Amino acid sequence: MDIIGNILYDTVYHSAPIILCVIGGIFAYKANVLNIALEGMMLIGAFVSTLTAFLTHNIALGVLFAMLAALAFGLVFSVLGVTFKGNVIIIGLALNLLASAIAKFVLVRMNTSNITLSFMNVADLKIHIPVIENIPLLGNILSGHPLITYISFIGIFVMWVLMYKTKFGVYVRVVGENEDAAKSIGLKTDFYKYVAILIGALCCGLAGANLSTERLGLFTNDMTAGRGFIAIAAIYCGQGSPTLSAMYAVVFGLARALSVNLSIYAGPAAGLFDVIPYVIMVCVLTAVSIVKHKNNKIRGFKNE
Amino acid sequence: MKIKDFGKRLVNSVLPVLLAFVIGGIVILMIGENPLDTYGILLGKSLFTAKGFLNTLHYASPLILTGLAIAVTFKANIFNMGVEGQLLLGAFFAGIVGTSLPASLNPVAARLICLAVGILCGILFALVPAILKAYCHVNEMVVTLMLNYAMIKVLEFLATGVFRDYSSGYVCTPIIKENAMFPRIGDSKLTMFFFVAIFVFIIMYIVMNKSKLGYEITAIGKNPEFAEATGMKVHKKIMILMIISGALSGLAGAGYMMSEQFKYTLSFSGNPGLGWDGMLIALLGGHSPIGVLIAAIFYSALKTGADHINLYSTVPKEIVSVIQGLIILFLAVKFVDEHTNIRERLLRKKTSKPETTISEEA
Amino acid sequence: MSIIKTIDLTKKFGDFTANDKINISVEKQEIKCIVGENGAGKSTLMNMLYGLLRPTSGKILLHDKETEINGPMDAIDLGLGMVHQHFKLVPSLTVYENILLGTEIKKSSKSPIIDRKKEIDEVTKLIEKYKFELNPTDKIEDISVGGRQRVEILKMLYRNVDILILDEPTAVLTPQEVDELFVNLKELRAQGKTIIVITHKLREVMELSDSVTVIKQGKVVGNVLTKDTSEEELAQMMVGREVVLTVQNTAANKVMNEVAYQVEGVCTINDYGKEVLQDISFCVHKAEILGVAGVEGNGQSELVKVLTGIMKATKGKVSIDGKDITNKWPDELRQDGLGIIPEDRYAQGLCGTMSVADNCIAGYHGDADVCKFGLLDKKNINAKRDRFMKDFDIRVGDINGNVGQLSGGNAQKIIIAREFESNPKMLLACQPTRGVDIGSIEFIHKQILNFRNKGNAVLLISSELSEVMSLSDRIIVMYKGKIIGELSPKDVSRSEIGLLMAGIQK
Repeated sequence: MDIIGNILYDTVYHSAPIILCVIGGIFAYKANVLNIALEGMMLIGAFVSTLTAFLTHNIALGVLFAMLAALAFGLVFSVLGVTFKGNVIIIGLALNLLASAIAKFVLVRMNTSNITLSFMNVADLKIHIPVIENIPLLGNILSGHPLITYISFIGIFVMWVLMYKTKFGVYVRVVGENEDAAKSIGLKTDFYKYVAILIGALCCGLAGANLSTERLGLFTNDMTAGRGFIAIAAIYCGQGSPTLSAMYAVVFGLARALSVNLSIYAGPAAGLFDVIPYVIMVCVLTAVSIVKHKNNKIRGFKNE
Repeated sequence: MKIKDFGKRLVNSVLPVLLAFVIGGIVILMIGENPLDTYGILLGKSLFTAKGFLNTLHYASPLILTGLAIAVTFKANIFNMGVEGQLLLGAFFAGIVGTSLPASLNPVAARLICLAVGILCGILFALVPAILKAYCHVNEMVVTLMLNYAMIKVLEFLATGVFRDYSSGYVCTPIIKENAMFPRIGDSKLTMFFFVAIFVFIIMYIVMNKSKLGYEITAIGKNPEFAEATGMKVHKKIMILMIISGALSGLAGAGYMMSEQFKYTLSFSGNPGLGWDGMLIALLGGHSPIGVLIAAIFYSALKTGADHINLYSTVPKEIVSVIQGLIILFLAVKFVDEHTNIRERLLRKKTSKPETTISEEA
Repeated sequence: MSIIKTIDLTKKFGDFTANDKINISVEKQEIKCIVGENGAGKSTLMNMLYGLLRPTSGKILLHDKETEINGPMDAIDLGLGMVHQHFKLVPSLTVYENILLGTEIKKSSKSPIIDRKKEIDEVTKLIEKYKFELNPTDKIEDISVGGRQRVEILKMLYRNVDILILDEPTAVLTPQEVDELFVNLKELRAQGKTIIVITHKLREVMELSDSVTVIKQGKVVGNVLTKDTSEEELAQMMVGREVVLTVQNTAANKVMNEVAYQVEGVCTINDYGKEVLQDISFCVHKAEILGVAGVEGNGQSELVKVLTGIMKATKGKVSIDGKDITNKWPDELRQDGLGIIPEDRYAQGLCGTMSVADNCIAGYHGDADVCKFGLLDKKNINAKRDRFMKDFDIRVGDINGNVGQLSGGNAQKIIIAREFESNPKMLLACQPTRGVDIGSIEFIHKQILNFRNKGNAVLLISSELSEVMSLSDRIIVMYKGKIIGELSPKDVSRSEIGLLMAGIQK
């Protein structure tokens, strides 16, 4: 029983940062901008939040600066990618490398290999919901998580409303689907792309803060370990639907939770469990693609 | 026309590098060092002393190969981001084979076997995304990125368990046998591996610039629908290109193992890794083999120079990673081409609508 | 009083004058047609009226006041709306969402949430007012092309425009949809709107308009009332000489009995699993041109894709000279003697960003004369290009430049030169003269006829009915993915084929 509870708890725990990246990345996806800088934005968010908290002993400030740092990355992405029409894939990769390089550079200057927030205890950041926390299993899912984890799940709903119920959401989709149509009604298409990218950056910044400061009180370089790309895979699999894509993010969280919890029993092969989430995502991606192209009789490939 | 094109390309390659160095310089200024001195150390020793230059060539060898591995796929608009994973797998098993060969084996045979194993591993690992892309239309970029992470974990598991050299104080595989190593030529670090890389470069130059396959790579990259309609069987070409890319990556890994590292460690490929360096090099070289060669040597100079920075100044050598990231970032925007192109494209858009086509007869 | 008027309106692109001192005047509540050949400058003129292009010189008068139009939004505010040839709609959104795009109605002025119910009501009222046939909650991707066009028109009407410009509105419509559109447009005129239609289809001009302006090579060459003119007169004005719209299809040709190319029971499906080709069967004899007529979007495009090897057939058999070539790849088809003039020149036929020489060998780049041991012979390739340019009178500005710089006619000639080079037995010609100037059209038609006269087979697929009728020895008509009739062009009239194209069988 205990292990199931732990797996459920860990599923929520590991899903949160990916969900944040997913709901952030979806807007760019809908606006037809492939934002593969999610990874870098998350990493810079994780780094800046821990660094700020380390220097100021203020976690709220850490989260704020994480969002600002990610926004700065988003702005660079938008300026080069949207205004200057650069290749967004290359820009994204560059930002990913740059985030890691900046973190490493600063870490070396600080003469340390990672930043530990020793002034606080991450357990104190967890929110325990009375009554519910005592219900078995449900308590594991709903209670005992840090604030940003709750925000991430509420975020799915908020993004859904924003995407389908408001003018802004409609316009972003119009820009992504038919830029000519958007221009013909006088929409400033670049503006919507900017906003879509910046929303993504903001969410990634939050995800980073959640990953490092809020959950572990620790930053080590490259700790995002491909979560940004997993988020992109989840968006692809869910074809841009906020709920469906978030569900795939949870699938990854579950895979991760399984690998963490089962590794206790696995002994030396434990390391291999870390492979599971990546392999699962590749399988899901393949399955989705096969279904999507089931009826395709046209040979060849389109430039994506 | 040709000279103008060449000039454009040169500006597009040099300008981002300069910009990156300027920003890097500002960072160096901010930590209280002299950027010009730093850059002097960075490039001076690695490019302008004989031994330093030969060392630069030595470190350029795997980079030439990974650069070509990326260029050959990127030029066809196939985003093989798995070069890093393919390289690591090739290196790992080249290393394992290198330790288990009998010490009495002829050195040439031993080296060829190790290189072949590396190439084979690279190909096998590249086949996964290749098949998924060619036959199931799965986005190769996401898949290769994921598989990289998976491969790093698998190799970590193998290196810490099954193949670990327990006599060493840290996680690594046993050192390869001497007959599988490329011996140094003279007193620099240069080995035969550099000439292997140059040989491969010449072949790839011919393939990409003179061959039917090269023509098809260009066509697929520029207009895949046209390529398919003119009978290029794009799915087969994707397989071939991924196999070439995987082979080059595996070769790079095996060669680096046999000429420099001699054992697999968890930081075998460095940070950000030879595969990622390859991407910068391919972009810097504009996906052309000659460009890749020049960019690989330039970048290798940066890398070897970075060690000198550590020795002779207080600037962390990680500044080079920052500059590298900035170069790629600015390379994404084609400063000259893009702007003129945008103007041309806008004009053409308006003039080439069927209604207003400027026909010769009109 | 004229509602819109231009005085000496001129537009230059570099040295090229697209519009030269255009003077037109449109009365209130009339339907004005502007006609001219491809490349005459009609779209340039309309784009200036709609603010998409800035005039080089000259004036635009709206309600007798000089007006500067700085873009589509400006034009709409001034009461000028345009329905483009390529619709500016969002496929995944509904009819009402598309109509109200940019002017969404919110629950209250402060609420960010869109009020769906009120939006649907508003659009339903609009549809009823103009007697259009549409369901506001359908998604655009699910409705017909004619329906989409009505959405575009309503989008403009909702914004209270009183002048409506339509660019080639009938190009993609079935004959019935054309009729319906004309009814709608006349209803709009009755309700006080002014309508400008750009077209090159003269029969429609006669049926629809009150007055006509003819443009030729950027100049106005005629201004007439429709009731005072005839189709022939308009055609003569358009081209500037007696028009021989039909090339001489020499009677001397004798179709042989021998079957060159056979298609039996071919079917295929689209991405949604819908059968877009149903049991297509026909054969082409030696020395025969078989024409395929039909309104665009009735499966011709898919048929060409299947026959040229870029789409797979789910059922059926295709053979050339008795040899099975079903679902073979394009390179294999070419080796088996099929020449291909593809539907979309710059999508399947040429690569705009590659050089002229490179395009001259595309599809045949593995042939022994240009490729030895896997290496390309640059000298032979350039020689081939030079020979093509000479033999087919291809005019190229920069010989080392890209194919994208070429005019439609010259680009098409490269494809024709390339495909004829390997002496195919059978030619698949799809929209061979689309977007091509008259001179090149004649040349291309002659080439196709010559090819046939040498005893070869041709399958000609074109949405220009006159082209199909003048060249073909036999015609089949496609409707909704099926062949619904076979006729001889000598024995039938346009209107009979027209009925078949609309799916009406006797």
